[in-house]
Parts: sequence; structure tokens; C-alpha cells
Amino acid sequence: MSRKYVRKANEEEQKHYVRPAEHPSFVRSVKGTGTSVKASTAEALAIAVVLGMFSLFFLGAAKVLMAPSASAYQVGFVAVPTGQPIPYKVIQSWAFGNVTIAEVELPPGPLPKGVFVPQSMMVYLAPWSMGTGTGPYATWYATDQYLTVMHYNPMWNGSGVTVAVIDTGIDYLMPNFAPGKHLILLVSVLYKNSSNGEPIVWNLQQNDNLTALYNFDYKLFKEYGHWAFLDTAGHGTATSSIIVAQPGLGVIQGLAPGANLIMIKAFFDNGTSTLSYVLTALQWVYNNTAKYNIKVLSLSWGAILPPGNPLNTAIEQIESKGVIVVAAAGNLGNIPGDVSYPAASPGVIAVSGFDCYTGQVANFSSIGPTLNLFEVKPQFTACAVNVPVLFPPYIGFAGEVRDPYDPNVTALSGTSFAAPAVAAVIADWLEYYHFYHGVWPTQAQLMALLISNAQHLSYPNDLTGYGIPLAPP
Amino acid sequence: MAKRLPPDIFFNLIGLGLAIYLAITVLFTSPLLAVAMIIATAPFAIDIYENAIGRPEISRGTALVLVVLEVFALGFFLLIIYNVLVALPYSSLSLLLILTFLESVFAVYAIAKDLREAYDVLSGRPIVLHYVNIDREVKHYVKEVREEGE
Repeated sequence: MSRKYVRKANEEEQKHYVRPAEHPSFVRSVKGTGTSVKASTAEALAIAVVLGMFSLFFLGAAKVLMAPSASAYQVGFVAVPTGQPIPYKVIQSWAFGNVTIAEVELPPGPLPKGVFVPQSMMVYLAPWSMGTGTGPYATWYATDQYLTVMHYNPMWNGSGVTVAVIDTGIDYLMPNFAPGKHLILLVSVLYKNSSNGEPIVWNLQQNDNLTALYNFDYKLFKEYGHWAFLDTAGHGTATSSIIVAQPGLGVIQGLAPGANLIMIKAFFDNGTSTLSYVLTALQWVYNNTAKYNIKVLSLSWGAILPPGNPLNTAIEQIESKGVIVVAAAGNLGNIPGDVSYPAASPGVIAVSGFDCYTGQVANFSSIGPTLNLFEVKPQFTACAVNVPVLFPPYIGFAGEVRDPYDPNVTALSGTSFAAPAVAAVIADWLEYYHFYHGVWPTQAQLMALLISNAQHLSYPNDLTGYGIPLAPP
Repeated sequence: MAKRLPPDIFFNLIGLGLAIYLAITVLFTSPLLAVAMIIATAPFAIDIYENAIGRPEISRGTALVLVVLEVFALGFFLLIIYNVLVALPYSSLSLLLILTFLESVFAVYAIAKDLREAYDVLSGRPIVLHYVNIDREVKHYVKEVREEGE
């Protein structure tokens, strides 16, 4: 009620004021004034309709939110200190040092405290669209896009830094990835090693016979229906090319061509995976961080999950080992607060999408804030619209526009392609820092470097973060 | 003659409707925004209630709960306003972002007003529970009634 129209009734006025309880129409009225009953009813109806809608929405939302407990039994996740017994039937578990995450079968009834039950087990890749090239070819395609925008300096190319990517695999037959030299390891969580139950691994530094690798992969595909390492969706090849594509082998060059790349395949051809597969991939990274000197983890996927989800716990454990985790914010649109996990996890460097052709935030990019209102999230932004990438020539998709001179090149849009660019720039900065200081920087030191050298678009905010991170000078 | 909706109720109905619309729209994409919108419906609904029926008498505990919830929502909406304003030259301003921004401005106004009233309750100041709305029409009638009385 606006103060302008309000004051306390004086005694004289109160004589003529009929309080709501005494009057059939609850809208204010004055005795003897003949206030229209019709008008009051209209107002009452309008308010009733709005409040009714609110009630219906509230009931509907409550029903949806409580849906998991409706089934006879349900699957949930618990995180407990390693060694502590889990009071439920364990389906699968993942050890992350002193924390164990377990997928458990819960008994019917109300949800026990401390158990995370996802609405969906699915995790999605983050391409907004595949091949959104519209208009004249020359207007949407610039092969040196992110190299120019992020001020790439060939002097710092990520040498000595290992970047791990969890995605759909990689087209290892492309020479652009320098298999055996820069593409050092292929891991697949879609298959398990029968001897130790671990994900299967192909070490290209020890065996770079691509024909043997392809034959092995093909055999698995014929027998079980899934390629273990080969990228048959194209997403992983595209994200990897932004990091490590070698110069001089076509128009596409990565931002950290000197870095080593480990591709962990955890996604199926349709761009989906499950929390279980993703947790297995994260566990592999956790267990092998020291062995392969993994410094950066690039994740171009996510899911809308409540806080306290198992992804959050796993990522925190990986970060505790000094790994810098970079994740795509998501492609759910410029709706405040729609950053998906793992990008929304505290400490993870979330990357929003920027249209480097128009100089605006990509309209599909997820933006912050997150539950931690004081954290700038996403922290950075990078090119995400019509980004030129390598793409397997054997995959076609609706609306694709290929480079007429190179069938391995196309342009894709999505925050999926912004995250690896930032991961690559981080690899460059790690090399830079290690060269001058002889040690690897902590996450805080690295963030300070990135922020002080970023192209600040405005004050820190939850759309563009601290701006576009630039490569070392 | 049909009477128009009073401006306060009209404003609050727009705020409430927009909050419900946004909460439904973003329920599965931004649960955080959906929760903030659900909280934001409270000050609008309270204002409509006050305008239509009169100010309800609330206890200090209720006032405290309202303050906690509304401060959270206030922080969230102020952050959205800040984000949109500082990133204005770079934001593509999708429809949802514009609507969220507008709703944030409405909500901040409504919440600030509620917080002021909650402060009165918490600080033990006397609260006037019933008001007479003096808009032009009613004022006119009041005058007439007085004249009749005299």
C-alpha cells in the first residue's frame, strides 16, 4: 500500500468506515456511498484467480519435487568417510581418497537424511546446436577466432602440462592431434578391464599403432555395440581440437598445442551419459592425477542438480589434488541462476559463452549467480558462437556447414567450446608460471594471474565474469 | 459504474503474476531463480491482502521468518539488477532476462517496503492495523457522508 494514499483514519472517518469483517464485500468501502458490488466482485475474482494459480503451482511443484519417493524403491547417492559402513544396499561405489561415494538402493518410504536422489540420472553434453552457420559463409566463420581474441602467443603453448578431457572420445585417426606425442592416452569408462574392474586404457605413448587401435576398437564395437575410444558423436573431437590441434595441419589450431591430452570417453553417441559413468571417469582422474601429471580437467557437459550432489563431492576431491577444473556453464539461456553442475561447484572455473562476432553474451549461455551469491560465476567467458573446430568427417548432422576446403572442419556453437579454450589458456599460464617460478601455481595464484590479465568487459558480474582470459604475453 | 482496480493492487497483481510465470518457466532450468520467485510472491501477496482486507497482525517470530526469507530474495534480486546493469552493453537481453530484471525491480520495491514494516514489528513499535484508503473517489464520499452527518 503506497504511503501516498494511506493515513490512519481519524475518529470521524472511522465512524463511516466499515471494516471488512462487517461488510460482505471485502474491498474497502464507506457507509452509504453505494460502492458497486459488481466492481468489488471483479476485484475479488482477480485476486482469487491469482492466488488460486499460486496454490496450484505450489502444489504442482511440491508434487514434482517429491516424485522420487513415489516409486517402490529408489536409487540414491551417499557420500561417507572411506571405511565407514553404508547402511543401504550398495550398487556401485567410487573411492575418492577419504571420501567414498556410493550409489545405493533405498528402501521404500520417506527419504533418509543425507541421501541424494537425483530427478534424473542423465548428464548432458553442452552443445547448443551443431553447425549453426547461417548466412554467407564468410560472415560466420573465422578460423583464427579464439587465437586472436585470446591473444595466443606461440611462445607459451602449454608444454609440460597435461589436460584431461571427459567427453565422447576423440577421432584419433586425425593427425592434427599428434597421437603418441600430444594425444597421449585414451581411456574409456564404457568398458571395464576384466582383470581389475578399471576403465580400459590405450596408452598411445607406448603403442601408437593406430591400425591396431582401430581394429581393437572396431572389435569391441562389433561385439558390444559401442566404440571404446573413437568419437562417433563429434563433440569430444571438437572440444579437444580447441586445446591441442597442431599448427600447420590445416586451418584449425589449438590454444595449447604443446600440451598433452588425455581423452576419457564417458558419453554415448547421443550426447548423454549417466552420473555413474561420469563418476567413474572422475574417479579415474582422481586416481591417476599424479601418474600422468594431470593439471587441468576440461568438462563440457553438465546437469541441473541440487547442491550436495555426488558430482560436487567428486570435483572437490579432485580439486584437493591441485587439478584446475574448468567447466561449461551450460546452454539453458540467459536465465539468472541456471549454471549447471559441475560448473556451479565452488572452485570450478565456469565459462559462459560469448559471441565473438557481435561482442555480446551468447543468448543461449547459462549465467549466474549460483547459490553462493558472493562468488562470481561464471568466472570467465570465451567464444562460443560458430567456433571453428575439427569434426570427424564420417559424422554428418542436420544443418552442418563444412569448410569447403577441409572436410574435417566445421563451426559449432555452445558453451562446450568456450570451456576448452579457457582450459587451454590455463595450460599456457601454467607453463608460463612454472618456467619463471619453478613450481606450479596454486589455484588462487592462477586465478589472480588470469583475472589480472583478462580482457575486462565490465565490472565482475555473473554474465561475463571477469571477462575473456588472455594467453600469457 | 465499474470501479477500476486500485493502483496498488494492480501493481502487486502484475508483480505476483510475473513471479508465478517466471517460477513455472524456470523451475527445471534455474531452481535457484524459481525459489527466489516463489519467495518473491510473498510480499506481493501480502500487499494485496493488506490493500484488500487490512493489515494482518503478525507475531515477532513470523516477522523474523519473513525478514530472513526476504533478505535472501532481496540479495538475489539486487545481484540480478547489478549484473544486468553492469553487463548491459554485452548482454543479449533475451526476453526472460528482461522479464527477470523487471520483476527484480518490482520485487526489491515490495520487499523493501515489507522489511520496513517487519522492522516496526520487531522493534516493538505500535502497528496500525487498519487504514482507510483515501483515494479521490473515497475521499469524495467521505466528504459527502460528513456533510450528511452534519
